[in-house]
Amino acid sequence: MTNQRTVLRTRSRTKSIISTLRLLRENKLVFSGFLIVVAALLVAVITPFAIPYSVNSTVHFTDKWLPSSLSHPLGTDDLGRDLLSVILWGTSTDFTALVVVLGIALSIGILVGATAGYLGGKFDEAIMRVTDVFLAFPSLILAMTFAAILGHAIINLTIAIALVYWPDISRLVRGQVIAEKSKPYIESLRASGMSRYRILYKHILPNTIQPVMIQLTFKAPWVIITLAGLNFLGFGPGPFTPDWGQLISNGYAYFFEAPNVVIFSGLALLIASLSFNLLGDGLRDVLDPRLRR
Amino acid sequence: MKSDLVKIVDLKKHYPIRSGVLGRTLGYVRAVDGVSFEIRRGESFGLVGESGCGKTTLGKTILRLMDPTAGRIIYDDTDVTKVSGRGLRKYRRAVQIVFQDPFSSMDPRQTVASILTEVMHVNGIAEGQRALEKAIDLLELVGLNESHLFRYPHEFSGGQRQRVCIARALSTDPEFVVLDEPTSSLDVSVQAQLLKLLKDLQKKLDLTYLFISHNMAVVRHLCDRVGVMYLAKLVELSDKKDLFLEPLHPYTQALLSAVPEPDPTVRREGVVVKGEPPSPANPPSGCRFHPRCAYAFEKCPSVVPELMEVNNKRLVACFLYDEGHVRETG
Repeated sequence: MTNQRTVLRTRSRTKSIISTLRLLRENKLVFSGFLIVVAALLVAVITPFAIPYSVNSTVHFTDKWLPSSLSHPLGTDDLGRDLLSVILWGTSTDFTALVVVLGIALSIGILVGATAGYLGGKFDEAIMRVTDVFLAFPSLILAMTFAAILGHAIINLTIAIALVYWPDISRLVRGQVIAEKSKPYIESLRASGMSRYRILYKHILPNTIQPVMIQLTFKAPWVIITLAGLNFLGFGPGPFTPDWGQLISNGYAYFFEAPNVVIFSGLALLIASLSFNLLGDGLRDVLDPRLRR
Repeated sequence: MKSDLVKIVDLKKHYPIRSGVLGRTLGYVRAVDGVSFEIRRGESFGLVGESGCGKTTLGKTILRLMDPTAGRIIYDDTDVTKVSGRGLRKYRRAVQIVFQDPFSSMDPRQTVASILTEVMHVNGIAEGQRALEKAIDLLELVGLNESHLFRYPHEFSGGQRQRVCIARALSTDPEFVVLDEPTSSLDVSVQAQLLKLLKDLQKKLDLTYLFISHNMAVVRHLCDRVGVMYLAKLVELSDKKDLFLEPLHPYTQALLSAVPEPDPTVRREGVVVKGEPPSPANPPSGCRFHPRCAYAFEKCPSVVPELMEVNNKRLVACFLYDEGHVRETG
C-alpha cells in the first residue's frame, strides 16, 4: 500500500525535477545564472574544508599589496594574505549569511503573512500596521540600527538584515494568500470535507510559493549587498571573518597603488548579484505548472 | 411515493452591506429569502432562474458552504443547519457539489490521481493502493481511463475536466449531488454527452440531484421536478411535465418563451418581460415580479403572494390563481 504510494509520489517528483531542469536549460542567460549560483554555493560549502582558516588569521606584513603572481593568483591584501583564498572564504561567509537571512525572513514572513491573510480581520490589520512601521524606514538605516544594537558578530548582522527583510515577505505572502483563498477551487476543497488547516498548508501555500521564490531570488543580491554594505561601514566583525564588503572597505583607500583588492572583491559581489537576478528571471517560467509536461 | 431526502424550511441567506472604516451595516442583500421545498430520494430537482436570483447561493447554503441566516436544512430526517465538526464532515461526505467552471474548481498543482485520492484520504474512504484503484474505477465510471491519472487539469479539455470534477464528487460515495450549472461552460455537443453521463450515473448509483441551471432545455432533459426562482424567492414548483406544458406563473411563462426554438417555421407569441431584474438589496414591495409583470393588478404591489396549491399539487406564488380572482387572460 505505502509502496505504491511512494512509487506514485516519486514518479511525479522525478518527472517534475526533470522538467524543471529542462525548462531551466531553455534560456542560456537563465541557465548561466543558475550555474553560477550553484557554483557559488558549492564554493561556500567546500572552502572551509579545502582552504585552512589560518590563511585568514595569519598576517604577513612584508607581503602587503602584492600584484598577481603564480603563488598569489589575485595578489595579496592589506594584511599580506592571499586574496583568492580570502575571497573564497568571503564567499563562504556571505552565502552562509544569505541562506540564514532568507531562512529566518522566510519562516517569519510566511508564518505571519499566511496567518494574517488567511484569518483576515483584526489580526490582519494589526500585523499589517507592524509591517508598515518596518517598511517606513530605509532598509539600510534600519539594518544599521539593529546591527549597532546587536553587536559586531556576523550572526548579528544576519539577524539585523532578516529583521528588515521579513515584512517584505509577509506582505507578499499575505497578498498571495488572499488572492488564492478567494479562488473557486478552495470552495470545492471545502465541499470535499477538507479542514481549513489542510487547505492552507496543502493547497494555498504551495500555490503562493512561486512568487515568493521569485521574490527571494531577486532579493538575494540585495541581501548580499546590504551585508557587504554593513561590513563596509564597519559594522562587521573585523578582518578575520573575511567578507567582500570588508575587503573593499580595506582596499579602497589604496585603490591606485593596489587595485586588485577592490576590483576582484567587487567583481565577486557583482557576479553573485547578477547571477541571482538572471536566475530570478527564468524562475517564473520554471515554477509555472502549466508549462510542465 | 418516494420519501424526502432533503427538506428546506424557510431558508434565508442575507449578506450585510458594509461601508466605511468601521464597517457599519447599511442594509442586506437578500440572496435567498425564505425558500422552502423538499427533494425526494432518487429524483432530479431542477432549480431555474436568471443570473443573480440566488440559486447558486441556495445550493451552497444547502451544502453548508455558507451558513444560512435563518431557516432549517433537514437531510435524511436529521437537522444539519447547525451541525459542525464530526457531524459536518459526515454530512459533507454524503452531499457533494459539481461547480460550473471545472478548471477553476481544481487545484492547478494537483494531478487527477492526487485530487481524487486526497478527497478519499480526507474522508477516510480509502488509502494508498486501494484509493488509487478506486480512482481508476471512478475515472472509468465517468468515461475517462487510467492514462488520465497523472495529468494536470490544464492538460484536459473542458468536457474532460468536468468529468474529473464529477469523479471527484463521486469519490466520497455521496447520496446527494448539487450540480451547479455543470454544463453551462461547455459547448452544446459536449453538454449533451455530459447530461447523458449524469443521467446514467444517477441510475447506476442511486443518486439524488439538485440541478441548478438557467438553461430550460437542459432542465427539461434531466429533471423530474422543477422550482422556479425569482429574486431570492421560489415562485413556482411543479412536475417537469406540467411546468413545460402549462407554466402558471407569468415569470415562468416568460422564461419558457425565451427558450430558443430550433424550428424557424414555428411562430410563437412570446411573453416578454419588461425592464431589468431589480436589486436583491432593495426588492420591490408585494410580489417581487410585479414591476415587470404584464398581468399585474392592484393587489400585486401591496401584498406578498405565498406559494399556494393550484390544481393537482402544483405550487405557485401568484394572485392570478387566487380563488377570488378570475383570470382575465385565460
